[in-house]
Amino acid sequence: MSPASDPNQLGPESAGLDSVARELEAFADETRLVPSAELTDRIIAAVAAEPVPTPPVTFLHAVGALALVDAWRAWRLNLRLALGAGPATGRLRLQALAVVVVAALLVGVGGTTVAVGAAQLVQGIVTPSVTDPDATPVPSGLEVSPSPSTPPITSPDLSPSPDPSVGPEESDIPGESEEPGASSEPGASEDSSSGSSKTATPRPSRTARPTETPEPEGTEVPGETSTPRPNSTPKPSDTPHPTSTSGDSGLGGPGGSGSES
Amino acid sequence: MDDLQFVTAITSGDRDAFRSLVEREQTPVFRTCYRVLGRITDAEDVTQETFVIAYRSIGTYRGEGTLGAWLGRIATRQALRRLGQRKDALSIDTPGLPLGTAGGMDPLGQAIAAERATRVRTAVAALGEPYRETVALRFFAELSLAEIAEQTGRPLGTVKTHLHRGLARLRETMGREVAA
Repeated sequence: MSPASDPNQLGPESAGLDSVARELEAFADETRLVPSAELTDRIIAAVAAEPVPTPPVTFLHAVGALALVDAWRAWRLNLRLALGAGPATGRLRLQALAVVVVAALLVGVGGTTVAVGAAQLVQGIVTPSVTDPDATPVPSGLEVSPSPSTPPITSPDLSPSPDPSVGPEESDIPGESEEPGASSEPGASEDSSSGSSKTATPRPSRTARPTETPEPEGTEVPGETSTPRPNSTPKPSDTPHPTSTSGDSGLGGPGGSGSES
Repeated sequence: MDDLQFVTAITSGDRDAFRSLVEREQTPVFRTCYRVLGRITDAEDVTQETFVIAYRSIGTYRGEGTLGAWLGRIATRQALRRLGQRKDALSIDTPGLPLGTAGGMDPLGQAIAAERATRVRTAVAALGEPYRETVALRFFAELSLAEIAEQTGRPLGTVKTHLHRGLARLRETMGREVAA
């Protein structure tokens, strides 16, 4: 039968393996069985439920079995069929073309998704420095939101407007730390007085009315009138200050009034 | 009808062509499965699985080698997979050879053949890959070295090396069993 024990097949160094090969061949000779007569019908019955193994079906079976090599072969078979090779019906060619296109699209989309994901992953390692500036504008936007009455003017001019209003006077008086808060809010307070609807900001201004005739003093420096307002949440602290001294001490009280006076 | 004509007819939906292929190839496929598994019922089950798999994927057969060799490799892989799923089969319930099947042997000859079958099957099953597959394709599926190279996609020299090493390991294993 088979020339397995032929030394020429495995080379001269296989001479010592002849006994093993002969034993394997003897085993093969002793097991020359014949299957039962029903086996053919069993196989045909099992296959009867299967769809005709056209190239599209073969491709789907290979994909379902995760047999990538077979799937690749079946895809190329579909490609040849879609391009007109071999005898096939028009319907079968359309199916093959659909398989080719869908598979190519899926692979393309999947590859692009993986590439974009990898690129974003790489950028995500670099971006932490970028996230900080993203965080800072959030509070600034919250402060600007109450002043939508001014937005057409202020929103483009936000950066320059605080500079002229606060820059020369307040930067000296209350100190540097409160400048940003003062620069934005005074605009809102003025707008609320001139405008109609600002609920939060007018309330502290009313509390200041009886106490503060010095508000005119505040008008000297509009930024200072505004600076207490964020600080005005402790209202009792505002009222004692004007009683003792004028608005300046009350406004910048804890921070710079004593030192300045 | 040659192999490619079989393939063309089957992929066109010709069930009779597939039946003809089954009738032509079922015996070698069944023998391959039986040599690996050692049980007729299991061998028939795996033979059926082999033909179902072949039917599904026959479109990928490109005429490299014969259809018989292509089926032989599918059968060997399925049988080895089944063997791995029932690891206890060879330890307790190994039937060796069915009585009366080893043509005209007397009871003593049948007993010797059954013992050899058990020893060979156990030793081959204990081989690691790729030696087990190569030895099984060569001696159980009875493929030539060139057919094994075609079906596995390995160079012929590599197949020879695998077979040589597989036989060497079998000699060690079977020698230990005989000595024991």
